[in-house]
Amino acid sequence: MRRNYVLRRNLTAYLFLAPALFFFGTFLVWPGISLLVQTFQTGGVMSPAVFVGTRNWERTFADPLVLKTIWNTVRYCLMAIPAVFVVAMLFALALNAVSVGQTAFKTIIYYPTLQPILVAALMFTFVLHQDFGVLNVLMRAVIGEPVNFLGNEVLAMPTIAMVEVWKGMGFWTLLFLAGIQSLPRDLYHAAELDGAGPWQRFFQLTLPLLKPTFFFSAIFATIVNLQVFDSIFILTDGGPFHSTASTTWYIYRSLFTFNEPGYGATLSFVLVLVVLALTALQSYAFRERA
Amino acid sequence: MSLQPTRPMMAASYGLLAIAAVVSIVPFLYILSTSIKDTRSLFSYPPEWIPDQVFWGNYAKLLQETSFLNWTANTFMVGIMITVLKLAIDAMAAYALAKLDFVGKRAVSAVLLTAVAIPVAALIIPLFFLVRDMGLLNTYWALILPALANPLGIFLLRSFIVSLPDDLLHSARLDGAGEFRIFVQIILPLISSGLVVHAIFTFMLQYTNFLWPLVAIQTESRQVLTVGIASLKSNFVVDWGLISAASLLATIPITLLFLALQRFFMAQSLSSALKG
Repeated sequence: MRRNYVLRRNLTAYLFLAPALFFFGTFLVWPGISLLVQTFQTGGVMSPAVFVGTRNWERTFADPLVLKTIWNTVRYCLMAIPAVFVVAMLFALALNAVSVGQTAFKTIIYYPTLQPILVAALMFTFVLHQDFGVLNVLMRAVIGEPVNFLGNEVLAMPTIAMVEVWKGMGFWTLLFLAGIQSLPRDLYHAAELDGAGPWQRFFQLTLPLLKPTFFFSAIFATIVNLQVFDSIFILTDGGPFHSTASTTWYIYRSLFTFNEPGYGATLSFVLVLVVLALTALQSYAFRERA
Repeated sequence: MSLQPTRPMMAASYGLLAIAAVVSIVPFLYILSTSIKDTRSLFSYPPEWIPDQVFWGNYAKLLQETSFLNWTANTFMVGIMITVLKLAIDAMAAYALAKLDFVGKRAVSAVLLTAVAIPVAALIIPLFFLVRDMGLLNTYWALILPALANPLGIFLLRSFIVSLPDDLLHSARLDGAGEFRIFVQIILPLISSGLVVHAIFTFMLQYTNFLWPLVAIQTESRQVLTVGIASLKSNFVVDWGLISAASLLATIPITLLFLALQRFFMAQSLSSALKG
């Protein structure tokens, strides 16, 4: 009787879990395993896949473009994430300080976040275009000539990062604002009574208290931004001279342009390792300073 | 932290917010302006923000000569299918993880949670072959089924269910209600706001998705909006007027959704703030 009950209880629970576990297994775990297998194969699009041992891996380590795409991807994250966090934090503090019009500003600032990154990137062609881009209209008025933001090896990646800052600022602003507004008020009153000015309160109370928010935000932003693809695909397609070629861009190209899925699988595996390594590093860094 | 801000701080805040608002909105206004100009006047300098003569040709061309309406319909069909299926699947799993006891519960949670950190972009090549071998390449199912695998939503809904009092379930069980009835008649109505947040999150994720549809769908008329619009740029001579019209129209459905369900969109940010 008792055993029957336990059995039924387990059965019920797994019935509830069954659809989720089925799709999770089929479309996430299984592709993950095939990914590892495919790193040792070549072909497969037109002809059956052939086992080639460690050839893809040897090529990965010898290919300078692999290192370059990893560095580009990390470089992109180092530009986009701190920039969007600082901007969002400033906006959040400003929103927190005002009362009249707060909702209206929140809505307007959040609006770009709703757009697909692809549409944001397309819109940026209208901001950056040498002939009719609105930013270049401004540049012509200020410095006398337009700037070729995307055709310049030095400027191209910061420009791509700017798309992410524009699109992401609303999301992070609201998230940081929610964090700020959940902080205990008493602490601030006490600090004020002790004579702490606004700067002191910000650096010694707000920032340290928001650390858990920053921790999760940084990890989440890193996982998402290390996969950067859409904006690069639209704005530069990896150029000029591969200066904006991200790892995901290289994965996509190795499947569709170079017709080398095995090599693309190896690059994908490298991407997984980079993501895991960087998120682990961040967890470690945040814990160290706790 | 709402101490009374000083006057200069207030002024600085409004100044900053004004800049933020301009930066957020100007690109939208600029493509609106571009979309109602013919391409020739686009290149005139200084640019006219409001053209003397409104030109509707870009919109007419977009609706008549491209598959824009198809792309929109596809996006909505796929997005709604995914949202409905995912809500059902995730809510069931969330209920089991939140309120049922079973062997291996911690292991199941841990495995699902670990997978959240796997970058989906890294799986497009094996997914491409899997979907191809299933014969689903170029079908809506190629877009729908893989989207159901992401376990993040389970944890979102779990956090809503965990906070419900256990007594509620105990008394229902004593009354002889089965687990499925409890789930449908008691749990689901009580977590309705969580379900709306999850639905918005899922739909938005699908609406903005680009890489996977780009890989999985080759037939132009079956494409979703994002990839369809991107394909307008690949013509040899780029029709900027057409692209600006397409970009602007693509923002409308999501804007309407946002205006209708605004408080849940904000809640989405809020709940992610609490849980990461």
